[in-house]
Amino acid sequence: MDEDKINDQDFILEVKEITKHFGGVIALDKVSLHINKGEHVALVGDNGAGKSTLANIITGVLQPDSGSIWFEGREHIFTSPLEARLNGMETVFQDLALANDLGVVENIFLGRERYRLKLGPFSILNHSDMKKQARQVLEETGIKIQNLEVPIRNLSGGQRQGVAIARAASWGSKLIILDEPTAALGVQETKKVEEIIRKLKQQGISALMISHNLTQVFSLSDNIWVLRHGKMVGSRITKETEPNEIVSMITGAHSLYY
Amino acid sequence: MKRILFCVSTCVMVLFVASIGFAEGSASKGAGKVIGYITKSASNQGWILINQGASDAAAGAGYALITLGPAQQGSLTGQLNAMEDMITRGVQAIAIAPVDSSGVAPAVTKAMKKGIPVIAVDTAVEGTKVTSFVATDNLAAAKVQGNWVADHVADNGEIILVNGLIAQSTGRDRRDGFLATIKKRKPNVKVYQVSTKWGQEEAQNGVEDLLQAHPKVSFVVCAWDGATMGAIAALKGKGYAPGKITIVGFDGAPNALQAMREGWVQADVAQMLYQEGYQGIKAAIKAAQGQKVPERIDTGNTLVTPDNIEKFIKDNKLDVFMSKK
Amino acid sequence: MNNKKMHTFKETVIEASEKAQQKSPPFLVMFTEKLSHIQGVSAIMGIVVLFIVLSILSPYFLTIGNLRNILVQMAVVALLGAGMTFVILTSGIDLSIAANLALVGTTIGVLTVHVGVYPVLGIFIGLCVGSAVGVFNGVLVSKAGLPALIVTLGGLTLWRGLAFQVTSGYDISGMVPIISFIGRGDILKIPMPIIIMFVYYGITSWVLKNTKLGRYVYAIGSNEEAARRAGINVSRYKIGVYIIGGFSAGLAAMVLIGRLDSSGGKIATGWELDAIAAVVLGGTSLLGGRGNIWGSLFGALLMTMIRNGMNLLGISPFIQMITLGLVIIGAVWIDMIRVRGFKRSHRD
Repeated sequence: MDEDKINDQDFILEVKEITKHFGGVIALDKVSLHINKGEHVALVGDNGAGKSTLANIITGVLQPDSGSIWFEGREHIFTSPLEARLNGMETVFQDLALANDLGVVENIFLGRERYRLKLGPFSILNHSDMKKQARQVLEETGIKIQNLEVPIRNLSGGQRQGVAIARAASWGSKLIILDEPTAALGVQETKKVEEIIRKLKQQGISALMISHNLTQVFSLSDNIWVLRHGKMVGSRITKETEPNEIVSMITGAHSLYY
Repeated sequence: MKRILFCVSTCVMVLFVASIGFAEGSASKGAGKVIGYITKSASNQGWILINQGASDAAAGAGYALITLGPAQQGSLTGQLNAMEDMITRGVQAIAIAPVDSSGVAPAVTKAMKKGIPVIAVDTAVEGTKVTSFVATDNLAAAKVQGNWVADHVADNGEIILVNGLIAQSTGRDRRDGFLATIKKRKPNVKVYQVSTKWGQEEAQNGVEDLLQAHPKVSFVVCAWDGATMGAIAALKGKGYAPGKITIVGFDGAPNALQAMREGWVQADVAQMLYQEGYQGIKAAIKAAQGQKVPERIDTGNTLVTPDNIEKFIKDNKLDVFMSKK
Repeated sequence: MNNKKMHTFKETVIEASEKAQQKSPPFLVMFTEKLSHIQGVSAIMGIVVLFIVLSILSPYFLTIGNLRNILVQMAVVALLGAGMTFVILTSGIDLSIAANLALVGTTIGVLTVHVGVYPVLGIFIGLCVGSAVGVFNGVLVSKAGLPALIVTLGGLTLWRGLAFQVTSGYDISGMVPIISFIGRGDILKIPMPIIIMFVYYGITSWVLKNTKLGRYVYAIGSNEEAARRAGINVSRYKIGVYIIGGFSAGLAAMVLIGRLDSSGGKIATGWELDAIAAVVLGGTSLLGGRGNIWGSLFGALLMTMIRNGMNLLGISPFIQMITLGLVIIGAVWIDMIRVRGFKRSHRD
């Protein structure tokens, strides 16, 4: 294996020429992408373009056939989501991966509980500590929930999304990957969640957003990367482009160039 | 890994099916002298005696005895399935102790129609004819119980009566026989009844509850010795000494007799359980050989008290079943 | 990614119950919303109602002796229910728990009475046997991926068959003094079964609320995939709950054979269903993730009160069965409405 190569650019994540086959089908063909520290980028493309596959490879759910990935200047392809998490990369899945019957505090600390006394499976939970920290996290992320005791099934979609994002953000994450964060939400709720995502940026957390919603993409992202049929069609600085251009890149009116 | 598991399980299934085939084959070879015997359960001590008598009778006459019982005690479906199996195997005769008197009728009818004689053992079959019914006359035995209690209870005494399942003729007969006698001879006696499904725990709970509610109770009369053991446990739970409350049992089961030795049980109307099994299979064999068999065979009963208990145990060879305390 | 798998089986059932709630009479929804904070509220309501009714119908009901009887008689099912609660909370099930009880009961009986082993050692071995059955269940369910229903359904007959085998079909009469004490002794006039029941419930409820194990049990039951993604070792904790179930069966066995003063393969036949009923009546969802352990105690109490009342009033055991069945269905229905109604009143 290569030695750790130090990259001199200030990227939090750099994906170089990732290729992935599924049987005879090429899902990703020499795809490259980079995210600057503190940047929020959007990954767009039509259905089947390969967005999910790329996200899965970045977070360690799938392994690429060739190519390299650099995280925080170190070359390493994560072999499991857990490993990615331990290194500061968190994913907020489309199905949120929340335990619906548990409360907000329980969900935020899921798998990372705080204990008063460590006794293996009988380790004693530190409820007051976790509750305090949870309140803090929610405040920082800008989510408004009055009663932390209720099962999160009873919260609105926007609040649940907020909890999922807060959970990812609170764990010293450097990069959060958001998969269709507001796909299932109404207009009001979408606005609230977008506020939360903006706050993440204020905290200096980088993000990669997969989204179908171009309005959202334009309102939240610094850069837009477009995938089409497994190939990276190109990227644009959000301020310097407009929806029509992105749409034509998605559908293929533009020819291939970087 | 999955593939190996699949292969192994297929092989096992094939072997299983093949072995059934072989078993059937060998059964039909020896089909000449086979009696089918369907029990109620194998766990009640009384039943172990009955089953012993049955197997002795078959062995004595040189017949093979196939004993089947429901996997779960009290399962009617289990018995119906067992009967079907025996009919298919073409046994010469079937002896059955029905879990439900009328429930087994259809299967019995089927067997009789196919020319297989059916002997009911211990509990009657209702709704269809059987070749013979071999059992204690429960009414008569319950009367013996009633008379003994009538002899010993005060005129205005209070009694707890623990009944078995009254869906069965056995349950009904024992209750009716006792109640009729006690009502006639001591009409002012109060009788509090517990209904069960022949469960020992049910009996214990029932006795506990009623003793609590009626502290003046002086007798507990049981329709079977499972209830006797349950009643004893109830008394022990209350910290009573043996004999503080008179317990009257039914069946003559070894553990109840042992308890009588210890002073817990004052009387027990013993069924000739061994005889039930023995006479039942003997009748089945006779019927299989085409001989005439009486429609009702009463195997009798014995009133066991501390006076004659040792003789009873010796005469009926129950020593081997008594616990080694 | 699991984008498409948004509608798990659980979500489908919850949607269906939502529809059921929309069709329910509004007054019932309002009423249950008011009570929505208490887990196992339907069992408690049932107990209160039954208490009043039985006190009126029978002069013997409301006596200390009778109430003590009820608490003692419910102990075994309550202990089974405690173990079963852990299993059901992870959306598992243990149909073999009563057969396990019989196996432990016969093992202890044979070892202490026939073989003459030191009673404490016999008890220890019995509890190990019960827990070992739990390991068996847990490993097959979590590692081999077999459905809990199937594994424990097989266990239902397997362990009971073994129990009969151990005693060669006979019953063992007369238990050793320490077992008799557990079943029929008392401390400060409180019967041992009652003490054991409350102590066990105290311990297990504390574990559920305040330890890693408890937290993970709820997490796995609520969303197993989420728990796994959060890094929780799901297999380990699933095995753990079945061990708890087995241990509970062992504890229950000691109390039962102590009470019966005998042991045999047929004890506690069918009581796995009583245990499940106690858990369900107590408000724990069969789908997992939701519920608490004291509810199971109330469930067991309710069922025993019904039985006790029927005994005092001389009502046939068949009517008992019908009543119990209706009560269980009613309790689950009310609980479903309660959860849906709670959801509506707590949106932001």
